[in-house]
Amino acid sequence: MQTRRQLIQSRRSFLKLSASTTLMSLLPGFSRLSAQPMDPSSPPRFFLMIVLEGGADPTYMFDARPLSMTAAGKVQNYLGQAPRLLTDRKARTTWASPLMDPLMQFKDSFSILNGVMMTPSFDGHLQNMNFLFTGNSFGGESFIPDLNQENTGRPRLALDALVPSRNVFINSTNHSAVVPLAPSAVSGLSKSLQEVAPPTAGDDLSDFIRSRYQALSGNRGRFEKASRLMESGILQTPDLHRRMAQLTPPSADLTPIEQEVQLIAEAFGRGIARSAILKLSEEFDVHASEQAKAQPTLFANVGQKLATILRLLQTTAFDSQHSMLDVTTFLVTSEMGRTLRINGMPVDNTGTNHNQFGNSMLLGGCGIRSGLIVGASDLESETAVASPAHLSLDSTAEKVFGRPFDFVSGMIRADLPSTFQIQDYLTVNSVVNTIYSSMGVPSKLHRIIGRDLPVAPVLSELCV
Amino acid sequence: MKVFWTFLLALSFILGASPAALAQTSQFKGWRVIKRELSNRIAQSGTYLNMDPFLPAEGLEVLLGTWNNFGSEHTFQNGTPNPVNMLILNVTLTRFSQRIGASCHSTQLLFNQRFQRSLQQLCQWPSQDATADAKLREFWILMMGYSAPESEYSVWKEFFLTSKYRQLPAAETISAMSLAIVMNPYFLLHR
Repeated sequence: MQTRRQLIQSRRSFLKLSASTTLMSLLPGFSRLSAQPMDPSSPPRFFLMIVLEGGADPTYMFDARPLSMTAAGKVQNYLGQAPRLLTDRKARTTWASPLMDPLMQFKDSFSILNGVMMTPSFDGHLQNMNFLFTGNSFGGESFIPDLNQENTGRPRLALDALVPSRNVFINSTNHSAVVPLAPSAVSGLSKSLQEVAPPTAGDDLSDFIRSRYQALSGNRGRFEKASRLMESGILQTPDLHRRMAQLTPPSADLTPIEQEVQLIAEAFGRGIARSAILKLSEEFDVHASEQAKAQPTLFANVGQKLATILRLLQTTAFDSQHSMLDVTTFLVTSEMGRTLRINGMPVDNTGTNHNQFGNSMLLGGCGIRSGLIVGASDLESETAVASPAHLSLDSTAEKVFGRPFDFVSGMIRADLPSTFQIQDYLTVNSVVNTIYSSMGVPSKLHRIIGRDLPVAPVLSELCV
Repeated sequence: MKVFWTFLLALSFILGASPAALAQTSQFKGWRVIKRELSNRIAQSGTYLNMDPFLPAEGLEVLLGTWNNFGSEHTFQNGTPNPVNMLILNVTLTRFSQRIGASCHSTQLLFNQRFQRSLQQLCQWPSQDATADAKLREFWILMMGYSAPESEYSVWKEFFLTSKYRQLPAAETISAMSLAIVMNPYFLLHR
């Protein structure tokens, strides 16, 4: 039998292989053929992404530091209260800020991911937000629409995601079926939709308008492709029109976050959107010391809001058998973490800068094993030392760094690598691939660790 | 031999580029451009058609294609046709078209003289005089501009001369004529 190398060395074989590969890739539906669809009878699945925009400081959440580090001048802590030690069933630990106490009633609904690497090459908001959504620092395709493809084994819903806020950043809406819709707009929308008839098949005018889209989509140009999309869109419009006309406007008596969650639940329950992206209104970019000093209040709000969101998901029925939380996978994340302090400033009067090497996330809900603590960041005590790999990218050890991670055992490694290699660490690409795996996105779409590197491993212990 | 490998290399580039080229698509012009173009064509000189009230809800114009600025990045968002923007366009432009049709009975919007004259002539529909090519062409050009080819006008005219609209009252027909123009890809898409 010929080896792959021998095959390629034979010109005829090479041409045959090239031709067949090219033809296969051009065949419509080829991607679907290679997909492994889920059981169609499986219950509905939705995805909620809760974004803390600006680079939220994990030390005020689930990657806190002991007060002894503050006393030693290593990390700011404007709360001044000792964090609580959390331990999971594998004896993995992390410190949790008391500000997250409201969330502890839901501790069986999520797992904690610490020391998650974002893009190692940049510490800007835009680059890390891009990386979070697309796996590319400079843009690309968001992972959100992939959760709403038929190759997951579920029908494609009209919207890839609903963003119940107008104040959204660029990356969450870089796909045209990721749609911002403020709760305040729902009342007018549903009323207007009830007043105008949807374009239905059999109506002369609707058929004529649709026939123009069809007639103008014959060739392969950009205009023709858009005409095809218009035809596809108008065909789905009647169903979407009816569903959106039934949207119940959130009560004005509710808080903004309650209104947003209610709208998300409506969009999921009525089969309008597969995902939702909910951005908390707080601003987490606290470079100035005065801003950083306000973090206890900031994160107290975060703890309350996240608890409110989970409570509403838990108490809102999706159907007679499931709550919204039963059918929703959720991710709480920021685009990056923050430095422990700013060098040269006293820890009782410092702000913090961006840190792309140690983000912290919560992943939970449907399909996710909860109660686990996966990954960790370094500099966990005043005596801890940074690895040479860490110091090669952060010479003053101002930032925490993800600890090297063993993807087989799910445990952090004890070694201190001498050189930085991204595959030694838990990355956001593994987190996205874990969501992909949990929601049935074909493995061929999984993110790679980086250029010329393999696919980022799925955190299989998190998948139920 | 060199020619063969050059050809193979060129072929691989062409085939390799195809999916990316296919992935590109024209975008909607966006609500601001729609309003501006229609105002330039049919509104009273120096005025803007007040079209925002036709939107189903405040703020939804961003879903019809809009520029977004984030730092130094400027991107055009929501311009790719999808079920939601088609739904919003259909509702918005249906309401707008109904107002044009209703203008046969009373003043609804502030039109320029040329469009007002064209509209009054079409308001005689279904009389034989209103179905003349010159009248229909004038209405088409005033709304569509010169964005569409002649063939598109011919198909539009043929539809209204041969379908049930040939016998329907003017207001209903003009409303349908207007909607058929403003929902046309040549009207809505950047080319």
